[in-house]
Amino acid sequence: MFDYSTKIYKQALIVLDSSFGALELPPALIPGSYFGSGYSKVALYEPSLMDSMNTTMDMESQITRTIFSGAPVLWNSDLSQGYQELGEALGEITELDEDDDWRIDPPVYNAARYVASELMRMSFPAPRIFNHGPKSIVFNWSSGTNNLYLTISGDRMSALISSPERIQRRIDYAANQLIDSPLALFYIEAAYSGKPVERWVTGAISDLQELSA
Amino acid sequence: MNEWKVSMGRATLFPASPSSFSDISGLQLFHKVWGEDPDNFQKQENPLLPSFAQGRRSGVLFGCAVHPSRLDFNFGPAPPPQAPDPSKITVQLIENARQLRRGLLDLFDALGEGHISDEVARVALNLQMLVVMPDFLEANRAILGVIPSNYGLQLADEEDVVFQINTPYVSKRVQNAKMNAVTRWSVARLQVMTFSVPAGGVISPSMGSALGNAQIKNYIAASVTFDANSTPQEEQASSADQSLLFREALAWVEQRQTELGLIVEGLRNV
Repeated sequence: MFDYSTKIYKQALIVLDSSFGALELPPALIPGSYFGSGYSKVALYEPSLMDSMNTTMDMESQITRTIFSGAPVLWNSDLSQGYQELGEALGEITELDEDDDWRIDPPVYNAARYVASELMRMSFPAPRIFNHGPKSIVFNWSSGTNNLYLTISGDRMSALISSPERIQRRIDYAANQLIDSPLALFYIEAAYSGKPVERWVTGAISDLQELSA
Repeated sequence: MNEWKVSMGRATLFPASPSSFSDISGLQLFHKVWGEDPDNFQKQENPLLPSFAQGRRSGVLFGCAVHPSRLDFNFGPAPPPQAPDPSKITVQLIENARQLRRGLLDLFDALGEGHISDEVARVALNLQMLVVMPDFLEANRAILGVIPSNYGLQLADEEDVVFQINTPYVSKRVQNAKMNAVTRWSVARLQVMTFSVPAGGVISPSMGSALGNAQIKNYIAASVTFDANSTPQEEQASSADQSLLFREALAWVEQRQTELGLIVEGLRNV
């Protein structure tokens, strides 16, 4: 029996692929985790209805806010630990004193969080970050002895793939390519992993989910 | 006759540069567009997460979310003011499409008046309409009733139907602007999960998990989604152009839904 005086009720709308049974909820569909690993599972669900689920999550937040004095905290759990730490680090180094070696300029911060959010959306593993002065920041991934360095400034981005022996590849992107970072990042990943490049171009999907490995 | 209703709407602005929306918060955006205080506001908890604000008008939820890489204006059915009887919970749809339309037009006005941003690369409008049916057979019938017969689609009790077409058009009001105009018919299984959370939001181990006490109901729904979005351009879309592109997109949705026979009251070209 529900006790209306002490409990609130949330309604979450979930769209199931037919392969899911009624109670077999994948972790990505637990309310509040939509922006987490769910992105890597988007292909399992009918895309337009994923949008609907997103809206419903917002409704759920509304209900929570109405009842509680505090803001909903669901969003914090939506980031993987790696991206949560990355976001926090980006926020902190932007607020440092001007003479602090780790401080980055606001345009660099904006570009870095834009690229980071796109990386997250494409389910890239969270990168480490290196300081490179106030005018740029470096995202880094390691694979064996190879390293991928993504140097991001306010209006440019450069990818460098290196082994202990040599620089294997370097790709530079101009400002107008930075905004199409899913494409740029996809080619980076392809070059880094040695996988062939395949791109589905429909040009029609509003959330720009048009790349496939 | 099946009564189709809007389940959600969304208008999106994609930035022309990573810094385009850096000074905007969900709260500011809500004020600029709808000229009132939101019912709730969530500041950005992490630089990679959105800030968002929500309010409601006549049964419709209005929300805006500022993501690092896009601005979303979301519309959905407002939850009832009191918790419903769990046995009567169903899929919520927007009952007042006229209010949804009004909210969209307010947004387009705000854009046109330059209240948001001139640094926009793309715009996108997405509206989804649903009708809940008892089984796949009926849902497929509902879908077939709104798919033009010239496509020659035949369905019985197949599951997970998806059929999509794009009928792109060139804007009559914005120079060099091409719009994708996607119509997607589908049948999907929906699951509505209702669960209780104690006041204070903390679930102790003795109470079990939130999922553990969830009530789950399954529904079959026929869905038609309209997605009109501008193709990427070298040139930025000015505030006036954004407004014009959205108005054309809404007109396309209204004309299209009428042609298909969806006939959602309040969302018709008048």
